Amino acid sequence: MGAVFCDYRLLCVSFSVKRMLTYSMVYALACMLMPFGLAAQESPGEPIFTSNVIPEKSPASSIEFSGFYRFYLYGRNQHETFPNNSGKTLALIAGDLYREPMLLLKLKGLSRERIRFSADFMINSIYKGSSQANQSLTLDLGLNLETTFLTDYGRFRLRSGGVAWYRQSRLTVWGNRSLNRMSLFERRPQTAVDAEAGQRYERYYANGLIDEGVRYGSRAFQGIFLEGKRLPMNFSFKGVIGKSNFNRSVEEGNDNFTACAHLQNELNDSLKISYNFLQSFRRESPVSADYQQYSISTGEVVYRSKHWTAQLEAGWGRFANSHYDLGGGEAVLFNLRTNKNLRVPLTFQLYRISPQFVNVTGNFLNTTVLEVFPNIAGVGATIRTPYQGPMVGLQSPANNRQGASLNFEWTAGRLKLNAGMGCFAEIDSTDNGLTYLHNVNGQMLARLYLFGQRWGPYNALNSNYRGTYEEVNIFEEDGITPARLRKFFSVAEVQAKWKSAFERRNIYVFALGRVNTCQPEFNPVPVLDDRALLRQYSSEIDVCFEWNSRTVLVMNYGVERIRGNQRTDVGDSGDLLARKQTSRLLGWGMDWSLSKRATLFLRHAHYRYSDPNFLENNLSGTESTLEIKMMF
Amino acid sequence: MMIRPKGLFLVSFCLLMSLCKAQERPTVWFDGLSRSLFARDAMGAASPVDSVSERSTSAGYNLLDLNVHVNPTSDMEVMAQLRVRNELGGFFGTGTTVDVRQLTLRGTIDNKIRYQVGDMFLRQTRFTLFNSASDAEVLSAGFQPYRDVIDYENFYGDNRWRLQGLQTDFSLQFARFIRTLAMDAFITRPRGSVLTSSGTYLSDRLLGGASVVADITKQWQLGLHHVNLFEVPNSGTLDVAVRNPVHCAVVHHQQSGERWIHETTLHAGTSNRAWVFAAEDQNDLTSSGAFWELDSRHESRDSLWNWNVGYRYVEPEFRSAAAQTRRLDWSSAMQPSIFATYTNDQLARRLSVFDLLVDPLLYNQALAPQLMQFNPFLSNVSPYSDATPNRMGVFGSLEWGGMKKAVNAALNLTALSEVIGQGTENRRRFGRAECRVHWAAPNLLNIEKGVDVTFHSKAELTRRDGNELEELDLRSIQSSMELKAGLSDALTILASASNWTASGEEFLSIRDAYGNLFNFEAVQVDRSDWIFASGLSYEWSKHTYASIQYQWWGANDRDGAISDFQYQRLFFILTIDL
Repeated sequence: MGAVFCDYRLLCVSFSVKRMLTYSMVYALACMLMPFGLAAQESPGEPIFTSNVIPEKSPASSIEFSGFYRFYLYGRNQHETFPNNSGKTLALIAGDLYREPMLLLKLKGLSRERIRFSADFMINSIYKGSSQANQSLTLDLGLNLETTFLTDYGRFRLRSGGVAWYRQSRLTVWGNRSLNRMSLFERRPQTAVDAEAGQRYERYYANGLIDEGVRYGSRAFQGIFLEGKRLPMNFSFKGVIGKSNFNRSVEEGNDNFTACAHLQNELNDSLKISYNFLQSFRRESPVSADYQQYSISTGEVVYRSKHWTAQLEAGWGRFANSHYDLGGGEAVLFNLRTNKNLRVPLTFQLYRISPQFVNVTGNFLNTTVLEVFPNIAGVGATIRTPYQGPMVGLQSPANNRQGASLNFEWTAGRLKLNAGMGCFAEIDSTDNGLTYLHNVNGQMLARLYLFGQRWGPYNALNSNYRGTYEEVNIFEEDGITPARLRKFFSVAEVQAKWKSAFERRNIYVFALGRVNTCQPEFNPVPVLDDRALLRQYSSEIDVCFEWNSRTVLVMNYGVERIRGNQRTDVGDSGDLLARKQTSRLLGWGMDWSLSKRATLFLRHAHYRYSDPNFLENNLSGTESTLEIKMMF
Repeated sequence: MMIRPKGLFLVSFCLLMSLCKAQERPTVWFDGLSRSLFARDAMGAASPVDSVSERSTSAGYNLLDLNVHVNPTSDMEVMAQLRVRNELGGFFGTGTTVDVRQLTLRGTIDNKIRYQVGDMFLRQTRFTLFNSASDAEVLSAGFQPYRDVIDYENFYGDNRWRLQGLQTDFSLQFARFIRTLAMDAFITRPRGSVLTSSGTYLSDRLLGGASVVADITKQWQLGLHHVNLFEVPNSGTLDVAVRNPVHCAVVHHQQSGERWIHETTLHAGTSNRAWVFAAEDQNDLTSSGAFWELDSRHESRDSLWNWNVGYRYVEPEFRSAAAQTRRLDWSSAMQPSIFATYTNDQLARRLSVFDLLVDPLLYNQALAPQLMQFNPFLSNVSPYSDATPNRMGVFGSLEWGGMKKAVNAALNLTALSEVIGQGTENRRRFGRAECRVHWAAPNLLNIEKGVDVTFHSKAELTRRDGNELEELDLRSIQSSMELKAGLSDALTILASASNWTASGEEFLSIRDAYGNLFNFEAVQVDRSDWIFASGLSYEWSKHTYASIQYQWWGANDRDGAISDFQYQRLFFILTIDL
């Protein structure tokens, strides 16, 4: 019994232990399996397995957007056409004919390391209905990265990418920056919108400067840019190694590069001296031995006194390609400019640029080496400037040429007058012909055939960006043998600006007259008779009436006459007479400020381009544009 | 101090509110990367006579990868990466592209379950899903900018594969017995159905996987991983589809002593790869394999010493597509992007190590069910990294960081052999020794910011005994040395020299479309590739720097059967982490 009792007790104990164990195990299992938390795996302690990346929320870069929207509607109705016209006489186009953004979205950012980055998105739509493919998103110019280092030795700026706008000196890298003698009737895409419609005309009346955007006066480069300022002993420098759009070849990615540098020392507040260098190399094809290169070294002195500024740049350049070596040549460019606050401000320019001094990124035209232009169809032809003996305006130098020009300004009450005169001579005789830029209807002709070379009924027209120049052949007295001679050029320009008010409403009148002649003998003033090989007269007048602060009415009339003598090309009228072209443009329009940041521009113009001696040079028609531009 | 429940609640609420406050940010925010790269290549002076090949080229680009993050709610984010790229030399719109590079939605459900759809970067274990470094990247002294570009362009971050699909994970926390249990699952599509040039459609190829990882104690961790690469036959018009499930168990033990931390990890698993044919009269091609690896690591508390020793056994038929896919696929037609031909005979130039180090276009991002071809010149011991099939043997390493951390020296040793012989009963034996020494000399040569000297060398030996047909002996040695002198806190001048040399003979495996070995190709290797570089580097941070270098590189074929070549490069890069 005792044993039984014992057994019973043992059994009870055993049962209790088993039950306790069972309960414990169930409890333990329950505790084990019962989670006290279900969490996304972001525990701050030991990492818990995940096959994916734990996202890190990094501090973001600061980014801002700016830009503009430009709606542009263009219509052209041709009444008279060139004979090779397809029969289509009416063109209705949404968007600029050139590569211009309708919506320009500029992205500007600053990274955590304070490196600036920027990109300008170009978003276009041609509004041609659903049958047309959508336009792809692209960049207007490119991407730019920029940073600045502040050190004990100076302030350094590193830029990379492009397109970036760069300039260093007139003979090496410098964009066209002439005297702003032009008509305001035609608008450029880069032209900013003012808060009031009349401000643009007021600025032009007051100082003649128009804001044409960051590219004005500079050249487009891609590559690596380095700049140093506030260096020891008042030194500063800047330079770029990369590519310019003037140094392109048919095959993208060829080993073309342009390197330039500018080292400057500021001796005192008045005197600066600089050394400028440029080396341009182009290989026509990666596998070919064909190349061309030119290098330029110049020294520059700028002296500023209280009343005047003198700038002298002189240097040596050399051009060679795989077929010939042009050798070296000199260039001297001297500018003297008095201060604007003088009674009669003067600008004097003297230059001599030898035929061997070749450059397409400087502020002068190349007239001696045709091959230096990148012969790329389409937009690449933008940079093909007038090559053969160009008849150009004042302050537009060319190589193989020397000369001087003088400009002055004079104000009498509301009348502001600026005028200039210059004479130039080729250094070496050439068998080149002549080219002249169409001052009137040049943009209209360029829009007929974008970037065309030697087009038109006589294969004499050449279109570049918003301009047209025409080529003229010169012959000996026999009228057959191409002439080889030194050519002399004379230019006179006068511009009058007048401002008045009618019923407290501003009226601006801008009149511009230009005479440009080329003759076989030196003459300090334009030759106005048949001794000149070619004469170009042009007159343009703009009248702007400020109806109210938001509305300006504009009117333009321009006429251009070209007269050639019998040593130039003769026409097909049967009389074998030389050029006698006349171009006329009569236009009117309106600028209407929709808001402080948006303006509507309307333009309508009648054009006519004709020559009784060249019968097929006969064009007439109308052009109309509607532009709404909004800045943000 | 005792915190009362009410006080605890108040503190928790305040903390929660402060966290909520801290997480407030704009609905849209940006980050990303921007890079400007320029390279000019030219023929070297000692190049063979050549008047018909490229003499020099220059190329470059600027790009902006703008990550647009949109947070509609605090627990959800949409991220799109827009790439704007502009080629150097392309003016006014030419050479400009705008692409969408990544598009992802991620978030958490009730702050408990995390999910992601779209582009993602996944990794499991070295035997299931793992993106191993390429052979050429191992030694790249002075080439960090290039390597950054290659890794970034090919999404090679952190040994992960870039995949597109759906992934989710969550973890359970327990009161006792098990600390945490992590669950992870994904399904992705490495390849969508595409129309081939022959008019057939390739099937959709999917990769699915799941993991369960339990932290049992602070010392013990157990993980089970499964991954399966498979094709959906009906989505294509081919009569065959692959399935490649891999299972892997991982047991990890960690023990911390007073002076040492000991870690022991056991990997073990199996794989099965089957080519399933639609035709009933055609037998499926199936191969199965297994592997295991035991690795014991030991690290001293003061981090002065670090060593490990282990044993690995991988069966010949072990196939794990997501772990064995190589970054460099030598079975594809890889061509150099610069100077593709040379000499007057227009010989096709073989890829040199320089090409592999600088050209991101040579690299592969697609998972493949077959074993890719490799190049014995670069690596012959473990071409598929740790998951290389038909390998068994020991490995170990020893690392020392002394002299107040100024010196770091590491030695890795591997001795492997084949499990079974290939084409013969004799088995290959492999040996690899890798040595890396880094010395940060603080005041050497009176340079204010010190000089960093890095030496890295790797030697490999492959041997097989037997008769003259079976016998093989392949030796390679790769060495690089880099000197970096700090001119200021950020500005560094650097110089490096690298050399890759291999000689001997080896048999390359020739496999059919299903990855079955059916033949061998005898290759003779006797060449040497070299690179010298010098330049300047300015570093704002690890991912934001500018570097300009001049590099001389070339290759010599010792038996003279192939013409040598020599080239030069001027290289500039500016990369910005936005």
